Amino acid sequence: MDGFGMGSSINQAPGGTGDPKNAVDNPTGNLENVDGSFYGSSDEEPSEAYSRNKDAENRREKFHTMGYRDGISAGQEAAAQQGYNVGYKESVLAGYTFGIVRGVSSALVFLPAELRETLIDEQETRDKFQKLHGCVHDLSTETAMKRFYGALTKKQRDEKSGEEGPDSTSLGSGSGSGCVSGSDVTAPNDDLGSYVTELSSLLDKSPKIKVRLDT
Amino acid sequence: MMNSEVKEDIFDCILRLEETHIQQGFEEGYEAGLVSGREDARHLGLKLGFETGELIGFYKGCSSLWNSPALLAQFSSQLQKHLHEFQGLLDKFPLLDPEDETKDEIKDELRVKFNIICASLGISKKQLVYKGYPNPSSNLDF
Repeated sequence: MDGFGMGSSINQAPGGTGDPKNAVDNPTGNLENVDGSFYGSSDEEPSEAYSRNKDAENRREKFHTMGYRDGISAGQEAAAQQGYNVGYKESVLAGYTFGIVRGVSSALVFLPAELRETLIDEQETRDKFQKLHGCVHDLSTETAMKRFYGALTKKQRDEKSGEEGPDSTSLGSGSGSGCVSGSDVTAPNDDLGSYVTELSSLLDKSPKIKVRLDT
Repeated sequence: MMNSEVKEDIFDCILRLEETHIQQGFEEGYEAGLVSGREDARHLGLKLGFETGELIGFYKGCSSLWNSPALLAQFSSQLQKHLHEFQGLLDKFPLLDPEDETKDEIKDELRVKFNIICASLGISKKQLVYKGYPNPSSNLDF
C-alpha cells in the first residue's frame, strides 16, 4: 500500500480531476486527499514503514468513523419505526377496550332519563352503570396509561422469569374492580381489566345495548 | 513514474479500502443505533397506541349505545344519518396499523361528527368526554 504515505502538500495533483470515473465513484468527496497522498509518497517522501502504517490507521479510523455515524443514524431510524410499531401494538387494544367502557358508560349516563329507561329496564343495572361511569370518568388518560403500563411491565417480567403469567390477555385478569365492587381503590399497578369485566357483566343484563368489545 | 494503468489500479484499490472501512463502520454503528433507538421508540408507540385506542374505543362505545335500535327509533332522520356516518368512519379507522397515516384525517372527521351529534342530542360534550380527550388547537369547541 504505497498510496498511504504523506504528502498533503500535493493535493492538487492532476490525477484528482483527471479521472472522471474515480471522481464519480468516490462518495466521500475526499478524492483530492487520496491523490495527494499517492503522489506524495511515490515521488517525494522517503518510504517510512512506521509513518505509513500510522497514516493508514488514521485513515481507517477516519472512514470507519464516517461510516459509524451514518450507521448509528440509520440504525436509530430503522429501530424507531420498528420500536414504535411494537409499542403501538402492545397498547392499542388495551386502550381501545378501556375506551369502550368510557364511551358506553358516558353516553348512557348523559342520556335523558326517559331514553335511558327505554334501554335498561332495571334500576339496579342503571345504578351500576352510573357507578362504573363515575370510576372511569375520574380516571385520566395518563393514570389509565400508567396502570396499563405497570400491568404490562409486570406481566412481561413474570413471563421472562419463567413463571406463569396472570393471563394470556392483558385485559382479562380483572379480579373485580375495587371501585365498582366497593372494596379499596385499585392498586396503581392493577390493569384496567376490571372495568372491562364490569362493563361486560352489565351488558349481559342489558340486551338492548349491543357492544362488541373486540375490534 | 507509473503509467496510467497502474495508477488506476491503485486508485481503485484505495477507494475499495475506504469503502470497506466506511461499510464496516456503518454496520457497527447500525447495530448500536438499533439498540439505542428501539426502546425510546417503543415507549412512544405505547403512549400513542393507548391514546388512539382509547379515543376510538370511546367513540365506538358512544356510537354503539346511540345506535341501539330502541334509541334510534326516537331520533330524527337527520341525527340517524349523522350516527350512521359516525359509525362508518369508525369502521374504516385503521386502528391496528401503526403505520397507516390516514388516522389523523379520520380522527378530525370523527371529532367534527361527534360534536354535531352531541349538539343534536342536546348533550354537553364537555361532560361526556374524559380527562385526556384530545383537545384541538382551535377554540371552536363548545
